[in-house]
Amino acid sequence: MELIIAIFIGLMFSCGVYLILRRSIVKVILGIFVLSNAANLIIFLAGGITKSEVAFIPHGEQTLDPALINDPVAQVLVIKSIVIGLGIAAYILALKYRYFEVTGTHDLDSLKNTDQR
Amino acid sequence: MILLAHILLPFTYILLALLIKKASIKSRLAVLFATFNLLWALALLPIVQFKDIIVVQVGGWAAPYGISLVADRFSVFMLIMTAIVFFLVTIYATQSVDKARRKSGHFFFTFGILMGVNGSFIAGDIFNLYVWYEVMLMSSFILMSLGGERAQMEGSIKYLILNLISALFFVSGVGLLYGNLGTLNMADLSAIISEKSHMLTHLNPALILMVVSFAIKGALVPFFFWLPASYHTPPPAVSALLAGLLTKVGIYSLIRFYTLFLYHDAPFWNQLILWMGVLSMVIGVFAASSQFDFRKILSFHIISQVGYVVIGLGFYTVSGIAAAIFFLAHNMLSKTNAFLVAGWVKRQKGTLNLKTLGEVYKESPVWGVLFFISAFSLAGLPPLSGFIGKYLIIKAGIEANYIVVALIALFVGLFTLFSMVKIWLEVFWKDVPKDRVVKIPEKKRKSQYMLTASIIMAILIVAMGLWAQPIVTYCEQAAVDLLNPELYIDRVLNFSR
Amino acid sequence: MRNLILEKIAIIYLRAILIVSVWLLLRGHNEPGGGFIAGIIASTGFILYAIVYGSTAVEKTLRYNTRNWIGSGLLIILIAVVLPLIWGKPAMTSIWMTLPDSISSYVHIGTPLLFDIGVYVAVIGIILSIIITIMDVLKWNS
Repeated sequence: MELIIAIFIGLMFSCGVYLILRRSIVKVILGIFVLSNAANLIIFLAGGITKSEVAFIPHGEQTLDPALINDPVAQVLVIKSIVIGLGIAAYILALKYRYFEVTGTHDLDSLKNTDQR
Repeated sequence: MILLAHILLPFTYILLALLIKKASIKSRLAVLFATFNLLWALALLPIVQFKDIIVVQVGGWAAPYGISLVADRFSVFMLIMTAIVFFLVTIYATQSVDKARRKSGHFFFTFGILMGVNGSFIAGDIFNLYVWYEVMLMSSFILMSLGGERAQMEGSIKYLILNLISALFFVSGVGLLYGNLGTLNMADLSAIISEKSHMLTHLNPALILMVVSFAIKGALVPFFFWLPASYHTPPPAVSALLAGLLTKVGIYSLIRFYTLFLYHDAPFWNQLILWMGVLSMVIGVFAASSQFDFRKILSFHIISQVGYVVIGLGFYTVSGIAAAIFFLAHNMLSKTNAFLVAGWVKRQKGTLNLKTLGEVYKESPVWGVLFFISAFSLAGLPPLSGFIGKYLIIKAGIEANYIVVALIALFVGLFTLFSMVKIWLEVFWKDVPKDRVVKIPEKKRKSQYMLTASIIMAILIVAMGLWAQPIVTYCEQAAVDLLNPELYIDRVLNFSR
Repeated sequence: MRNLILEKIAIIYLRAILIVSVWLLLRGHNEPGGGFIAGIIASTGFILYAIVYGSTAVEKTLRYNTRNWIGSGLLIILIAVVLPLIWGKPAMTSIWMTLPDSISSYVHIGTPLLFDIGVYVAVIGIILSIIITIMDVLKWNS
């Protein structure tokens, strides 16, 4: 199972890299989203894939056998980076919208006015 | 609480700024909270100097499981410098930033940056570090695009995409490291790595992802392209803040990582980091010499100066790291002040193109002297702080038998001087070119707060050069702490309350 | 978007989803659930309402500006973080109220709940401010 997910992450990374090398800003943004999800999957995979319960102590008990539960830290990290991804997605799309309003173009090649010449 | 205040103070300001509508109250509150932050940072100094490393286990959870906040001498020094820079830039911004920007949340997002920067200086585990990075970056993205001018949009898209890629590298590194070692606490990681010396090459992929991410944030040589493309676009108060704080966080994390993890595999990392620093130094200064925009020259100089810090780290001796810390602090002050002067010139003249400017010295000798102090401090003229910084770096290089690197550093200093003299001559000294389109001067706007902030910073630069001895001693103690991470590990892991 | 059935459904859905979200909020900490998820779920109800009635109607049902929602959510979080200091414990420690025996087995009141409520309010504010801004830009006000 880990192997399949690892290959899948690799595929996602290559899709993302392909997308951020395109000229259209929208595709670059989509590439960023794909890459960030691939990075989240790496963390998810780092927690290990096991057939077990969610890490909650059942009602009325005091302890829990660690062998029975998943690693909760990896899941916490994933949800944190998903939340950060939500904020970034909202901001980056707004920026794209505003950029299109100001300049009227989607083309990254027209973005060279601020570069060093 | 004592460390958490560095996060909670900006947090409190942010929530107050959401609830309060009036722009003038927001500005006053911003100055007030920046003062609190400065006082609090100064209050940490005696504790860490005379007692011990400050460790806070948030929520009372013991070290490898909970979130630890740690401040040793190095962190506290950076916290103080951040607080000083932030305080002065806030005073400057109350006058320099236009009302529309202040109303749409300029201070709100600068406090976001403060929260992120403070947080990353005291973070004790790597995922926490990543979260503070994101806080800082989100705020800086928005500050960079706030106002929506065309150049700003272009600059912020480049800045945004390259920095998001660095964040992705960091998350991937965190994931791989966690999968390998099963912990995220920096002290715990360091302890585990030093036990498992056979795993070193096995960990390098994860660590290299993180180091690349720090190199992107710190604008080291093959990864610096976002910086000169974006730092000259936002309002000057914003670029001063970003130039003063953001790249330094990347370098701080690099130093922290080097002294906790990377030194275990020193043969691989040492040369890599040293030569990355040398290249940044050389390429940054050459690119700066060829520019004709005030802020672009200063932006390229950031790259060059970050290179100095990194070679200090690359020597990996007590004097080298002490010099790097001192140089980092000096650079925060001088660079920010140079940007503050650029902001005043922009406000007065409406442009920062060197070819169309001139005779500013005649108009205002005070600002001329302020620029003189900060620029020649950057170039490393005695008795300013830059001289001490460069002297320490080169001395450390010679002591560590890196004669070539030390010579290159001297040579780069010459070019720094050249480009600073270029700004000085073109902006402040020469006659206004005859063919320049004469613009009707706007009515004189007051700039007393801007002047105050810049003067205080210039005084600090001079003072840091004249009374360098106590600061250098402190930096050496901090370097000794960094080179012996056992103390750090012990204090974090065996924390008892 | 004027459509009688959709209008009625949007109102019923909003009420139902608010109850579900409060239930999720309260069962968090000991079972799957919690402030963030509850906030996201509650804001879906408001989003459907906004799609049907337009963004001004949602602002009216929210009573206060979304900025104030985010601000008060953060304020509640701040209180929950600082509160343990009064008992001399490190910030963010969980402090639970002692309740009478008859209900203490299934009712727990403490700072984690306060923290979750803060997250809940802030998340609703953030999501809705994003959605309302987008709808204003697209002029989605039927």
